[in-house]
Amino acid sequence: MLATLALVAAACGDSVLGDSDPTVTFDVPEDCVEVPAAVSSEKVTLLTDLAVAFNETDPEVDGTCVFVTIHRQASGKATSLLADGWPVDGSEGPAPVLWSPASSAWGSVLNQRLAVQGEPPLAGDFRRIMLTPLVLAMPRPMAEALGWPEADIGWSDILALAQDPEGWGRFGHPEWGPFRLGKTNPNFSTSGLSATIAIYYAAIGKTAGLTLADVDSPVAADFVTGVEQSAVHYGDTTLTFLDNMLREDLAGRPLRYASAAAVEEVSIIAYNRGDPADKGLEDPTPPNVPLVAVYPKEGTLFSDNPAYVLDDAPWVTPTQAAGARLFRDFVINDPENQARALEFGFRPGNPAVAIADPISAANGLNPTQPETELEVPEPAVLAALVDSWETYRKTARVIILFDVSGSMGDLGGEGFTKLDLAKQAVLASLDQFKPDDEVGLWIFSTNLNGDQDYLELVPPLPLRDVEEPIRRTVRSLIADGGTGLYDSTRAAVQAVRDDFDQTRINAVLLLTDGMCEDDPPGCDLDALVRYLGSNERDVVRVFPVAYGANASISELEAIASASQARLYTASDPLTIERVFEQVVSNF
Amino acid sequence: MSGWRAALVAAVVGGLILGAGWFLSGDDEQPDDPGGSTTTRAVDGDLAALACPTALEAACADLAAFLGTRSQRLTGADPGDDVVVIAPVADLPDGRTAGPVVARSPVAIAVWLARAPVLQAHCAVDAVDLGCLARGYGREWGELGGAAAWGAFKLGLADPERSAAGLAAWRAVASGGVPASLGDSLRLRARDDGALMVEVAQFGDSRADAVVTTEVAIASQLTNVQGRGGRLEVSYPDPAPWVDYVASGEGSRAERLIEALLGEEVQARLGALGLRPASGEPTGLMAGLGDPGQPLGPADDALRGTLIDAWNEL
Repeated sequence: MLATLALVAAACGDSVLGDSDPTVTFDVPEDCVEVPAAVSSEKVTLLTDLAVAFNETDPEVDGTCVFVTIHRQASGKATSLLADGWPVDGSEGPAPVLWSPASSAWGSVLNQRLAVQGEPPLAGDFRRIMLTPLVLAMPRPMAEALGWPEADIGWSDILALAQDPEGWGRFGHPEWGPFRLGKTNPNFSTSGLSATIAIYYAAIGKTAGLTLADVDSPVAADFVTGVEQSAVHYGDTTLTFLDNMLREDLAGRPLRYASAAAVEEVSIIAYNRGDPADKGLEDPTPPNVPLVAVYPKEGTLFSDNPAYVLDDAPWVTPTQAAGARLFRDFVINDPENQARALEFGFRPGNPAVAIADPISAANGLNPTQPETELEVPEPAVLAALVDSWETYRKTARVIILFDVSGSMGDLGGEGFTKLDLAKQAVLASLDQFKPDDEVGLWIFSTNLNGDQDYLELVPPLPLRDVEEPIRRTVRSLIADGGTGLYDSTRAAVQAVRDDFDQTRINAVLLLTDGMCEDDPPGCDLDALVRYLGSNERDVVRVFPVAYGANASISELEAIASASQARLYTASDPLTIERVFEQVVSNF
Repeated sequence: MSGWRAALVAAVVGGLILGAGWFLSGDDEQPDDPGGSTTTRAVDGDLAALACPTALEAACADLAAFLGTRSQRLTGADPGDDVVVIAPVADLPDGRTAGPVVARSPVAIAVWLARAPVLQAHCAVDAVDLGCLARGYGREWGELGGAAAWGAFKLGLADPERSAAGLAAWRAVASGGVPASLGDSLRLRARDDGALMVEVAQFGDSRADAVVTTEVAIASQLTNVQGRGGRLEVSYPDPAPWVDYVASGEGSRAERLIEALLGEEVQARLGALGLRPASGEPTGLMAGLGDPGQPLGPADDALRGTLIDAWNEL
């Protein structure tokens, strides 16, 4: 049930860019009716450009000027907001008239949730803005070792490779080590959800009609567990994997971090351009080893980017609905506008626009693939699938390294100290772990134990055994002292390394609001970075959370990069619970 | 076979077959103007606008340009007074009165070109027919002689409850009976024939290997699919339900438009747009289309009810 709730309440689209990512501001003319559109992040730039162009045509509905505004909203979150009632205080942006999640599966989930609440559906007929299939992105040499592009490759091959003690030695490349899969958490990411669905289908040997019995079958359990064992870690966005792969590539280690990542086809184009986040970098550095797309032979799913006009939402007027339709037609009917989708690496939704470059062999893609589309399971099966994934996913071994320096006692917002808010976030995040996950709790400031800046309060043990001690201990923490960041980080990583478990995700979750204040010999970031990157096989990943306005982003970014993890930022302390939730999605 | 299934087969197969021959297909020769580009104004006087369902959208855009008026998509709601709606009688917006039949379309079968020969070989037929499609129900392509990577055999149909075109196609498919395996293969269910073919073009052979729908809907995407992963081969069930498209509009501007639509120039133009003229005898036909099967008479309410029941039990 936990997973079910998380799926519908907390799921996000991919390309989550953090709390500093702005949404473009539109100035709505006074005499115009605003038509707000809530869209998932991967198409914000495209639709913003097109909205600007549309608004410049002075569109009218029965003589009334309409003006489209674009607002970034993750698919799963928008689903929850629409199901629960969009906040009228504007905290989540204006209630949308047009809604475009990453996949029409979210429309089904929304209608299902409304039906359970006894309410009529909101997501009716839609038109697709653009499409992109889920693929396995692999460094080209690795894909070629599997027989790409001629061979049919699928999840069953991944399973066989993942379970082979020889690893890539099976294909004559022992130097590549074990097979490592980058796959996002299905509770948070559309790609992760699609990949998880695909793995279950591959396990059962179906392409449609997945049932509850299928999900619960021993065959699925074995297959899913086997594939998930190869996960490097999970997470909320595929961007983490792509960023890390590019960084490793540019550092001359293109095959070290991950052997494959389950991402949308469009992501490969951006990656191969050297701009995984598709930020429009002026001078990107392309990778030395490009990624290519493997379209799983058992079938895959599409992100079909539907555009729903929410006619039946109580806040939508007929004029707004008509304006939304005008905009939707503008985006989809005009071949030039659809060609823009192609520029962004998506397959155009308008069938009259041919699939062309950059969706081409030159980019490691195949426009005639995939050959089999998988059916999105019924909502009840989908929920059960995610629940069972929680059981079969790779377990974690994590030390939560908690900053209790004096500055954590400063006010964070709404009358709470930063420490209070962080405590709440840690306590809430414990629900995301599963009982088999080993979780420990360390704190650090300065001189907590003689000269030692850190203290182990709860050793990493199965959560089922230590959850209550952790909760009790967290509640009792007080803030004092400085920020002994580097030596504490190093000690925590060393502790995880000492008991490294190949069957688990081995990590340190580092929460800090400051910068290094270690005692002499002082703060040697280079030395710490070298240490974190010194073990290529048994990588302990450090996921830092830069908490508050004074955290040292650059130091923490270096720590995350060196350990092939990802930095999270919660510059506004009031966002820490949401950010912590994203961090824990890696496990 | 359950009672309704037996009744269904009997009703569909035993349906009236209209006099053969009158509709015989025209040749594949393209008319002087293949449509889609000419904007010659063929009629004097102001004309009402045209509103057409998705499957006819491109054809209507061409006709509107040819006649010097404008066209729009028919979304279900009445588009207004000064608009002539072209649609099957059953799909006209509430309150609309059916006018004359201005165009027709038989039900046809479309299979991806790379996969059609596999089916033909498996069934030992020259062209894929409904019986051959049925042999694919519930099967994997590997079993049919195709590539294992093609996965399961997948059929696409439009919802018979939501459109006359969907009902006509379903009538054809159900004529051979409705085995449970048909439900297994029915991977693509679309709102109507136009939406069905849009999905075929968007998703290619990953979503449907074959569709049964109106010829005009297939024709509307024949060119598009070539830019999106393949070509479609078209064949025809025999006998075949046909869909008649009537014009509905009031007022002098509407009357002038309907008269123009029935005129020789427009009727001669329809074949190139994937439609059959009201007479059933196209003077030119879009490349890739062929000779349709014997036309079935209209479905009565009882047959319609039986068909819908069968659909809902899939």
